[in-house]
Amino acid sequence: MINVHGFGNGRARLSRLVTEQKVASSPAKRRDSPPSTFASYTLTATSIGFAAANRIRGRGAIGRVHSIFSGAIDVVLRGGSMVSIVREEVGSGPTNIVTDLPRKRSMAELGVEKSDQVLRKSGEIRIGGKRAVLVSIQHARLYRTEKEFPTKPRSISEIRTNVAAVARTAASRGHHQGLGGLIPLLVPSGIEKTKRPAALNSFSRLALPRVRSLLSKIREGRISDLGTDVQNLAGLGPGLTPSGDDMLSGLMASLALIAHNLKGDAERVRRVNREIASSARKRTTMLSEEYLSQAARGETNEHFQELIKKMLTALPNEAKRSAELVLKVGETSGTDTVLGILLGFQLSLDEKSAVGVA
Amino acid sequence: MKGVSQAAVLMATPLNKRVLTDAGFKGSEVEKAGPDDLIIAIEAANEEALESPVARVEEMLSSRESMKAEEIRPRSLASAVKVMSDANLALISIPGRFAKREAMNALESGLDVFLFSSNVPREDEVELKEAAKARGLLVMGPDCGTSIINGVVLGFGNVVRRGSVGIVSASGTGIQQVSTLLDGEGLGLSHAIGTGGNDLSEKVGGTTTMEGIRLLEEDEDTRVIVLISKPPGPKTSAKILNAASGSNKPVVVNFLGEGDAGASKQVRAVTLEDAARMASGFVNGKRTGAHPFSVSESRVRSLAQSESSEMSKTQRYIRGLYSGGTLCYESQVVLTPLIGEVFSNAPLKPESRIDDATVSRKNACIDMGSEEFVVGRPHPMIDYSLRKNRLLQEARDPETAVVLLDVVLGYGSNEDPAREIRHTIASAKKLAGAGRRYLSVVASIIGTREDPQDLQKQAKELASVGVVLMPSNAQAARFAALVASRGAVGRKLFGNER
Amino acid sequence: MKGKEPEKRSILKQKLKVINLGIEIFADDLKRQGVEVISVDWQPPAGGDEELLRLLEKLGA
Repeated sequence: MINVHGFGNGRARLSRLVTEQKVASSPAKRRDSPPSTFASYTLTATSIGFAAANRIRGRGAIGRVHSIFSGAIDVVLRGGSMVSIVREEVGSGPTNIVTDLPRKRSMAELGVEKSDQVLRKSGEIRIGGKRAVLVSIQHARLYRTEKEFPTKPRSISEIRTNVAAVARTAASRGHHQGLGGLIPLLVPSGIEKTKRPAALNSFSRLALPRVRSLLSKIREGRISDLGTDVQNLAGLGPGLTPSGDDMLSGLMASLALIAHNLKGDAERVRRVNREIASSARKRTTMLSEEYLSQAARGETNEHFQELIKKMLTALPNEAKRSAELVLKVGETSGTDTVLGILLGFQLSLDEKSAVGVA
Repeated sequence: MKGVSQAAVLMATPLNKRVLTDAGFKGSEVEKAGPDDLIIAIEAANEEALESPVARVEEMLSSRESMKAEEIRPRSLASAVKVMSDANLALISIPGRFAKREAMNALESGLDVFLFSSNVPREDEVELKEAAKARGLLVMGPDCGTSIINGVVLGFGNVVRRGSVGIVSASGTGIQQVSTLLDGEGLGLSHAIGTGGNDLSEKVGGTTTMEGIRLLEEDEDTRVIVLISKPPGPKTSAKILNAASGSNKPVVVNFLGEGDAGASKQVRAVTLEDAARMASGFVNGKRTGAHPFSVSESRVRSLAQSESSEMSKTQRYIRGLYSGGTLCYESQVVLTPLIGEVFSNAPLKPESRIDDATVSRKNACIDMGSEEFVVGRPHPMIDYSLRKNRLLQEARDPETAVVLLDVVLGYGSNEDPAREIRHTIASAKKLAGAGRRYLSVVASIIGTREDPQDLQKQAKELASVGVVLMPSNAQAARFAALVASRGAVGRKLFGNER
Repeated sequence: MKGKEPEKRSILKQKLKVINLGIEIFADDLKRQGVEVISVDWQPPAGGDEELLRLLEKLGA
């Protein structure tokens, strides 16, 4: 994720406005230009998310390229939903199609351009234009978020220990350009007394009272009042998926998966999540809206799912290790999502909370 | 960066636009931008100073969720082999029904295989081992918990000295017990080759065992070979014994529970402890006789006496709670001649199978690493919670005299078993005390000084809550029998010694 | 590679370089012992689910 410096107050000049970063178009970026006779590039999909698999059904034109990055090509489909064709490292997710693009290559160098047509044929997806890219999907594995974990969850007190371990790890190893600075303030882990948290950046300062308000409303079961707080958090902060959204995604995914595995009030959680996801609409990017609506159903990228699973079923060291990976790989975005996950655990483990499982 | 006072890269969502506006970044471009537009806001002293931060931001933006190189994980064996072209071993612990495919891929790529997975269909195992044999490769497993190759522990295992004893074993904990005992005497291992629990079944026929014996015969570092397994069927047994007697090196055959069948020329060990003793005899060039205990008879008797002196008349039985099948089996081998029938979920004979493994009856040894306990949970060598609960359950039973435990250290095991279990042991003893009983807890620690868990600390902490520690699992079982019988089995144990 | 090549050294004589599929702890323990190991992010085919396998087949059709 992008490391961003929060900015302070003071007069400044707007220097540049960039719409949909298109690295492919800038010649300086191209390292090895494909030969002009090269008509197409073929990728093999190794994994397809369940939602993605459903969305790409059909034959013929199914959508258009929305944006391109070195790690991913985002496609908007008829009806407005999205799928992302990604590199291996991005990982499996409900709307991801993971391919075997060699590590040194970039999705942005394949000759795909914004608005290129996306065609569905038997066993493959073709991203059109002068130089087409083919994605063969015949042998891809289906990725599905495991809602119900095969391993038995640990006891409530053991899970609390895991939560504290992950909170400590996130507080010390997280990236705090987004909302990470809120972790020691909102999630008790035993280090507050020994360490003074660093000063908050402007996004965190803004977000803190709104997050507190959101949490207390969920705790009290005041679902119809959640909207305002969500609207003041969705779309806030740095990142291609803004920090506030990452936090909300983590929160919803963990609430859903915890309710499912610890026999909580799944129906109430569903209503809470639906309210959050719908309040975020039109407040943020298309991709982020996509992630939010998936997270509302407990569907998430495999790295986050793994973390939630470990927090529920494994020993503290394993949960810690999983958190370390998420923080390292996801950087700011990962940290913000972990904040959300921790808050989801907190709300669920609180006996007095409307979404409590204890 | 030179000349830049601040920079921000944000998606132009309603909230972010408000934040930008408040910070002084205004203009129609900001207003027109939609949520899917990206704003790079840089405050700089002049135009020139803008160039490098803008380039830098473009560079950063071009990767989405890019993973650091060392964390990139291949998704298949095939791509892993591409990344690590000189790989020579695949360590496979995926669910059994998928294991054959991956193990076969590994063999076809020229890798030896350590197959930890269990519940692999027998036919798959046969196929894999035939394919391995054809390629001159080794399949250690399925259901293989331990191997130690060139001093490297694969799976569960202890940090043991390098030396000249080689082991081929169908039991992982068997390797652990024998190797730690050898290490305790200053001896060491050349290699320990795990064969998996079913290698010596009639269907599989001992392919890996035979190959393991052959490899150790060729290995210059190995001077003695130890074979460990539960007694195999007659056909396989004959095959192995034949190989052993024809070997160029001394072979200690430990078919657990089976002593010398008379006509055989091999050296036969009944218990794991015997196997270690005999192996060391070969290494040191002198045979030592078997003793029931490492310490003197009088010391053992007085220890046993003090354990049983506070027991009530109702307390008669031994309850063994084991993290693995082999030590559970070995205990039964030791106990049965001393105290009679022992019930178990991994019994010596079918008639002694316990009806419900969750409730002990009479003298019982329970393998708490068996399927019924382990499904959906971490293994009992790592997670002590089930054994802790069971300990308390046994403490409440007025018929329980002694609880027997194995505490296994090394890679793969719990980081601090003593800490895990000592409070429960103290509570268990208190529980018994409240019922005017004394609960004796006897254990053996399987570990070495080099293990990650600090052997001495483990011993100290367990002793501090009243656990009687014996140097081996076999001795722990003997001691338990001595305590539970109020010394009566002493005649059988020490009879020959007088 | 068919049959035993005379130059092939047995695993007992080689420095181990391991590919791990499955439980992460095993890879961690190997790293602690200074062994080169690479972990495969293994997923069961089609999530190991028969119904999903069929769905996948339909997609590939």
